[in-house]
Amino acid sequence: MIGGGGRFALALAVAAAGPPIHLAAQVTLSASVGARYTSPLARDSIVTAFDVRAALAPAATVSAGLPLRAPWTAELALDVSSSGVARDDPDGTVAPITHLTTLALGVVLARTLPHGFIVRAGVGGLKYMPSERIGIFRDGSGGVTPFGAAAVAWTPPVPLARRLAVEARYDLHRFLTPALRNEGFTNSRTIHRVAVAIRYTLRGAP
Amino acid sequence: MKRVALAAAFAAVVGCSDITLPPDHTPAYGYAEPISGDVFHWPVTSLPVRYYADTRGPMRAYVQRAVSLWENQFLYGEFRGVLSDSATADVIVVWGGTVPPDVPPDPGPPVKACDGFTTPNFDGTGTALMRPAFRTELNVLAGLATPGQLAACMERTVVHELGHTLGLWQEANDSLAIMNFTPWVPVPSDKDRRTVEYLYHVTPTIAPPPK
Repeated sequence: MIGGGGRFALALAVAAAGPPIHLAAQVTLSASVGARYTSPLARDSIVTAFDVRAALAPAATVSAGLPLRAPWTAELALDVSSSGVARDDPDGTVAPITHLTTLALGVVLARTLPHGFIVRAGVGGLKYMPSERIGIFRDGSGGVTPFGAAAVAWTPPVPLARRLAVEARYDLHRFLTPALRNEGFTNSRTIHRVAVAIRYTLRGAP
Repeated sequence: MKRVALAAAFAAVVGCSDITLPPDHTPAYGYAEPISGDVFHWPVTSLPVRYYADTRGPMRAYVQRAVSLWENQFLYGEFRGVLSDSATADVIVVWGGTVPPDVPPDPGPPVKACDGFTTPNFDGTGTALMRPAFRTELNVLAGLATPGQLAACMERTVVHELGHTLGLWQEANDSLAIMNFTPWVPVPSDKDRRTVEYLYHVTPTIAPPPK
């Protein structure tokens, strides 16, 4: 007899062993590359007001999708982007602080629409990974932050480009590092990110 | 799908409702040169500031520690320092006389077993510095301090003197500040942090040495 915990372990073992063959055959794999804008990470005023910003960053995503009842698809998406972080003063001075990589893992629900459109919405966790513990990251970057995301992709009606799609993605999350908290910031800040990317379906139906 | 839309709308509302007030950045003590009122700090274009540390005894470790401590007072990329050779240094830090033994600092009550002084190197105009911009000397004082007490004094004093090389050109009148005339604390305090952070957003009147 298998108890509650044992049943869970068994289910996990079955899941870890890999999906059944007919499911594996339906899994779609896609990847995208593009550029991402991130709204200011911090805004402060010492003598004059200034922003701390992540630069326009290259962004890459890989995702695996499993078709649900048409026209829905469930996806697991891993997104990474990397850029410098700097203070932008009103007089144009840019003071580099460090280099920052963000890693986001999310579950996404996608729906196919007419005319080559696909819309996506999802949630997940995002982690900031600075290259060194300095500046606003001197006491670390905090834990994994939940985020919400939405995207729209369009596949041009061209036979040769049927695996390609142009995609616009938006996500938002809250941001506050331990160093900013120690400095006296009491509230986290909402960060908006917008990315434009080219998505390519590597495997499965586009 | 309705639930997804509701969740997205909720997230948008939460996202728009934050009110983030900047913290208090009021400086705790003066930083300008007491007589002329001149203000100096390293501009972004001069970073990282290059420090040469006397190669004898524990000076290199003291300077490295002090540079790291000062870097950690800033949040927004205002200051970076590195150790360098004497030919290219912006700041020279040397022993004035006796080289003290390299022993762990005594964690007990502070003893004034050493002193230091920092001299800016002005060019002919008096409105700019020339390389090396500062020369700092550390001296052992005659007395009955143990080697550990002397090491602790040197660590504190190097942090204090490097504070002057950052532009903190006044002594604080606060025994809990590292920039107190005689430094009694091992690391910069919150008052030191607020003051140096503010200084690095003020327009300086003294220019750095050319790169």
